[in-house]
Amino acid sequence: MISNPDLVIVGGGSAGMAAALEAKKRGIENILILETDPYLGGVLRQCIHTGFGLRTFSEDLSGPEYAARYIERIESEGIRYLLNTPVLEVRPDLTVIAISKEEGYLELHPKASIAATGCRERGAGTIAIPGTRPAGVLTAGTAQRYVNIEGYRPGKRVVILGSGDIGLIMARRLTLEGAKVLCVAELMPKSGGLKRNIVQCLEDFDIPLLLSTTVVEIHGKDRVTAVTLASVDENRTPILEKAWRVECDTLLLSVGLVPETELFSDAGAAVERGNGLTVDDHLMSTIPGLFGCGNAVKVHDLVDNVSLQGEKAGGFAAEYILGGK
Amino acid sequence: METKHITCTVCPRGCAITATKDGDVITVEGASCDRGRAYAKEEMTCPKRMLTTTCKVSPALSEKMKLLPVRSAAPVPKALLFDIMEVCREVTVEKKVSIGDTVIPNVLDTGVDIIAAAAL
Amino acid sequence: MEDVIIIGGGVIGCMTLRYLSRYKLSLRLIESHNDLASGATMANSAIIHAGYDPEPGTAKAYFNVRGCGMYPALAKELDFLYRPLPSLVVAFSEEQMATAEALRTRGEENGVEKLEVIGRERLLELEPNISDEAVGALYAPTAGIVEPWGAAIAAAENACDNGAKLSLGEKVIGMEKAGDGILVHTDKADYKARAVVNAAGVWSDKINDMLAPHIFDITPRLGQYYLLDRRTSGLVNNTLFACPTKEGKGVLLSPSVHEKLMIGPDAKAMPDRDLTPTDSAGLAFVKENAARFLKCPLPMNLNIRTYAGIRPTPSNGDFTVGRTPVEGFYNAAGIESPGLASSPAIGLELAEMIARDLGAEKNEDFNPFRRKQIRLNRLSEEEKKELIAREPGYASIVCKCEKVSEKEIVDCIHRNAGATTVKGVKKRVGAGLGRCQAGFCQPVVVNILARELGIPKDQVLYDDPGSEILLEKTK
Repeated sequence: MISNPDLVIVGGGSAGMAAALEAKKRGIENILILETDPYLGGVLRQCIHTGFGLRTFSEDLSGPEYAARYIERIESEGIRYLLNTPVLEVRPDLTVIAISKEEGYLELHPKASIAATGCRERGAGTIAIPGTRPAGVLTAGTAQRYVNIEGYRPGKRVVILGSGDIGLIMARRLTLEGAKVLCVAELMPKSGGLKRNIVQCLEDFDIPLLLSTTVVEIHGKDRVTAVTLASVDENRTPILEKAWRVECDTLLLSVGLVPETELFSDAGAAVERGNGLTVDDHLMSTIPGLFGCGNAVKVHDLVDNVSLQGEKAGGFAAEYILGGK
Repeated sequence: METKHITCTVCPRGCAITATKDGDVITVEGASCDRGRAYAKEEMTCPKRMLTTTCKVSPALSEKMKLLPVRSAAPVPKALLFDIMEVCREVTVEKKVSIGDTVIPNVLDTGVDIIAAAAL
Repeated sequence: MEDVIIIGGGVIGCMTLRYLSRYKLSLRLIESHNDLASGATMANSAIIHAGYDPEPGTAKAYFNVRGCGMYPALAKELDFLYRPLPSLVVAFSEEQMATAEALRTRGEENGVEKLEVIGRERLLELEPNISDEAVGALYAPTAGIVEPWGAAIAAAENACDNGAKLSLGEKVIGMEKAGDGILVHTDKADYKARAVVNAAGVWSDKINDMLAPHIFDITPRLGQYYLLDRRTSGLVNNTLFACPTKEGKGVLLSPSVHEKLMIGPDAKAMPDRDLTPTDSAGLAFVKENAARFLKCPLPMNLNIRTYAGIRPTPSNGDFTVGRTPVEGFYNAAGIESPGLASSPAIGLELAEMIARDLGAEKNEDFNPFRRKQIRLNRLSEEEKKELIAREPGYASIVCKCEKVSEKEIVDCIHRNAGATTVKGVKKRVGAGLGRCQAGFCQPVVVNILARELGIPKDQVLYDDPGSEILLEKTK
């Protein structure tokens, strides 16, 4: 049976693990990480590319390697975690309701909690792309899972909308795995991705980056058969007279990430317009004792910064529990 | 004389570097660190990239993990990326590995090993 | 030879199948799509209309009012998602108040109970966010909201539990009279039946014309919607309609049984009966017309999906239900709105008519109850405790947004009329209809389908044939 923890961390990804380690360091003994998935490390498991850990470890690590370093420390510090344990509800008094394959129904009353639930991708529905809704329209992160974890190509002729980093990374990854990436269309006049990803993922493979361009229609009944692209004017309005059609079987979307905070906003915690958990200088939400870190607060470019904020949140939560603040 | 504008990919900062090759002499401007300067020189001679991909895992070894993430232990010549992908595609991991263990030694005689990026 | 073949696996065909399964009859339903509820049933306003809209004396009026009254008990028997929810037809002028009054009179003539025309004060109590321009409304408390595809699938499953058979993914290409029965040719097989029911939705004019004299044409129409995430709950408490105009019922705002907010539809002609594309002009129209209901702006940033559904609008303006000049051939055709509300009444009436014509006896073993679906996200705290103690496997969540467990997905695959596709899983347990729109759970659902159906992952379909999600192995 799980004894009642002092600190519950919702989410066992990079933010949650860093928070747990720091809280432990600050003297909190009874910590519990709750993770929905059957593994720690969150999305890092499928981010097999390098570019992680340059700040934290001064090394260029892949996602699984970066996660493994934290998982090892969680294990060696003896920090408890439960996998296959979705949190169903967080209440304003910090009660956490979760269900666990191993431990059954859990009602926990910690002294503090940390929201480390990460983010989700915006999909075709949220951006309301006109046209049909066939198979072959998927987010870059979903495609990443299909390629890197399941070992399947989700498409052979691919158009990517959005030049966020995951989209760029997947352009390279799909190309290396034998798909033809026809172009990356970006609504804005400038890519939001890291420069090095534009070089390494697009320029290296001669994949055109079409700025001020968007998808105005998806075609195909059962599977994508084509998309219509159009340039946009300075108000981001598509210039439909100059639209053109690209035959493809897949539309990959990399059009932004949204902090996953519904569990906490349902409890009454304030969120920003972009859906990030509202936090103060001590990373505490509007619910006393509920802290936030990582992509649940703000979508970060680099995992190193997620870990850094996780650490801070772990420290603030420890102070809170120990009565310092 | 040959001049190239290079976006440094060593770190996320992405410095804009101008490299000029005159005979055997390469001059580099705009880099903020030695690693960047070295990178720019390499871009002028033999561009190299890290390669990350996966190798099949024998079903007898792990039911859960169908693929093992792997990477080159050091950057490999860019021109060989697709050839190395083919080599990785043909390999099936048959025994337990730890992070950093060699999966394919000296891939295509580059002097670089393909190593495990996760434990099995 | 079957006793009865039903052509069309939408809510009309499925309800008819279910009520027919109360008799000692051999039954088969033929559906051209890979799954039930793939046409008009899949994407509509999901409202059980009270019945004040149709002209008195029409088939629409008759079936609507009866069907609406059947839903509460039927939802319990078949365990589909349904909730009574009053409709409000909001008036924005005194002239429109007169329309509301006329609707009340018409509704009462149709037999709708408890209709009231309410003033602004009462409207504000019911809808605190209502626009300052709203002056009153018609209040129809007998209306409801439903999961349309869930109702259809539940009815078909119950029919199959009672012996009915399904032929999915088979398109009827011709029919002919043959001796004591009717021959039905599909693209895969030939069937013979003593009676055939045309419940073919947007195709019901064509199916009718295969055997019976031409009576109507279907003009397919598209309606487009936005779906806003559940954080909108409380914004709108009832289904809000505008006063009907010549163009139809117009744009509505309604909570859904999944605690989302549905906004739509527009209406436009759609020549291709198999395609349901959205377009930016239609979506803009919906947004603009929906905005006038409330005094606060609609939180369109919470939009999680836009979609369109097809309607079989018949040229004769009414449902065509019952016998045709051809013996043994029955129509449940041209069923547009309020077809969803009408479907149990249409099914019941047709089943009784056909049983009488065929001289069928009641099936004494008929079980009206569908085996209950465990829906983790709808259990009370106590029920959750009890379930997890008994079956900890329910903690294995696949759809994080809607909290759907792996066990629920496996169960929905192995039921009668079970899921065989990713969309089929979404329709039966709601995995993927939440805010991430299956971004996280689709790969897991693909794995579960492949495992449970014993097929390779690259043969798992999203919906109809040709909708493979994965194209090939990378290595």
